[in-house]
Amino acid sequence: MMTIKEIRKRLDGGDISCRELTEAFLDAAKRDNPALNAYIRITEEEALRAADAADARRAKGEALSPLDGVPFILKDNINTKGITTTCASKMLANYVPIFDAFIWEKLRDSGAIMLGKGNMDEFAMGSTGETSYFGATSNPHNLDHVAGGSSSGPAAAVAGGLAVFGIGSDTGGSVRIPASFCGLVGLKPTYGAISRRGVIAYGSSLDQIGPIAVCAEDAALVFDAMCEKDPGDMTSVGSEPVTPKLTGSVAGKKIGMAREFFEVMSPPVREAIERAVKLFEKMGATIVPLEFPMLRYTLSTYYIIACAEAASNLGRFDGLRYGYRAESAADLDDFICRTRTEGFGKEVRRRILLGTYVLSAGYYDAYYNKAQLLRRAIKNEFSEMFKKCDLLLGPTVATTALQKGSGLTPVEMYQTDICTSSVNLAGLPAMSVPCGFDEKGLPIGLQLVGPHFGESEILSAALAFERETAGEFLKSSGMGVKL
Amino acid sequence: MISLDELKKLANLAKLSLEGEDVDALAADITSILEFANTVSEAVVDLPKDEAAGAYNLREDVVAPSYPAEEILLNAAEKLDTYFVARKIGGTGA
Repeated sequence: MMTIKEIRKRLDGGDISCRELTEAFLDAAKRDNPALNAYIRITEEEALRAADAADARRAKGEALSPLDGVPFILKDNINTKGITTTCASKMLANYVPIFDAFIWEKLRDSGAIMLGKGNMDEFAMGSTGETSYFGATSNPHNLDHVAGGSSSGPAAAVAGGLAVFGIGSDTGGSVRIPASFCGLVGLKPTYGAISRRGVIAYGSSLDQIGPIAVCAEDAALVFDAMCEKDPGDMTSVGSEPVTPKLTGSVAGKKIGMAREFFEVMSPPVREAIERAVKLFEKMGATIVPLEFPMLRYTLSTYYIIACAEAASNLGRFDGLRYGYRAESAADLDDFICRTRTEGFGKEVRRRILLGTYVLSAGYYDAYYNKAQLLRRAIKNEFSEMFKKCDLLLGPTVATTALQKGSGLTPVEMYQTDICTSSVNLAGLPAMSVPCGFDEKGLPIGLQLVGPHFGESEILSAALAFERETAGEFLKSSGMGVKL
Repeated sequence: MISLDELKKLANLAKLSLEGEDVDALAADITSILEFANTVSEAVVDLPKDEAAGAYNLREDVVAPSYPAEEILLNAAEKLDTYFVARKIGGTGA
């Protein structure tokens, strides 16, 4: 794994051309992707064309940005004009968008090189990366384990040395969970900081786009490339660039720790988090014990709202205008039902059913309205906590990466999001930072949560932690590109 | 446990078919998910019911050029001139 800064140094110093770099990543991707299943599609032709353009710019001394010439992977729920965008679903297996997502425009305009489209849980519904129509993604640190979801491909590609950074989406933890399982940094920005125009919607009041990267500085650079306000997304407010604000210090900061998070952690995760807490104290931060009683309701609140929004968002897939289409049907209604049943996978159908149930007459108040009320109460509890501290610290996931095919029930699987989903309900920024390994060598992530638009606060704390631990938790998987 | 009739009604609302589905397993899954979701009923919250979730940046509703019909139709499996072809409503056949 190499950081953006290291790649840029090689490119700017003339050690390697962008074409050579891109070819090296493409060769590695073709060799190692069958084992990882991180890419649904490798876009070789487009990548090489972009690499040649980057070389031409560099030759003229006109590099566009810190990302110019840096290869990355884009989650396959992000629309790319002329390039198949599947959402890891049979429903969209042959869908070719006629427009680009805003963030893909921004990244392309910054000169970054897209190597391909990343595998994911179908329609971003999953926490392990196993619900993809194109098969599960493997964890580069142990191929028998999951990469985490739903942004499984971007995380596995970066940890597996098949991309320098990845772009994921996070509705209830989908950037942070795979980052935690793969030993990477994953940033879920404040709701509204990054435009979702052209991102295939799951839970629109929760969805946010974020980078998965090797280190905090890389995550900041990628965030900065995407954080422009977009009139095409009515929730977009944009953000100031965060890189100039990174201090790399937590001296004098108050870090809150909610007791409730510590009750759900497995022993190795608890040990790693407690060690990290001591390091933050050593660096001059003060730990503030807090209580978060609403945590016990966050998962049910999150699943009610996310599934209700999914049932509504996925109503558009009827086989008429694009996407999968059932072969035989008696009439239009039968055609739509068959198309959706055959086109959506099991987990997606389950979530549509749950969402439809909680929105139906008779249950709407008891489930959906109650969840909206709880959402507000959860947000208020976060606001109270931020009156007492600058940022919050806890685990990203209560465990390390699960074994593939672990056979968990849906409700057991949903528990994976216990530490992450509350942040989406409140619209806060949060990130996962590598902080240890379990007895099998699988990575552990800590989660830092900031107040709204507090990205620079949490990235600075992550940078301080990385410096203090001197890359101790950045482990190569041994796979991928060797430069 | 959600009954077969309720499950059928729900599937119909969601525009999903239960044909070929292991209905008993699905009913058990949905029941356990609903029990899990129902933990929200235990929570006591004293807040105004209709607090707005957030502000939106609404733009003027101005007519502007959109995508050409030919492009919009690129992903359509069946089309006629600049129209999508749909199935017949009611009756049999396409």
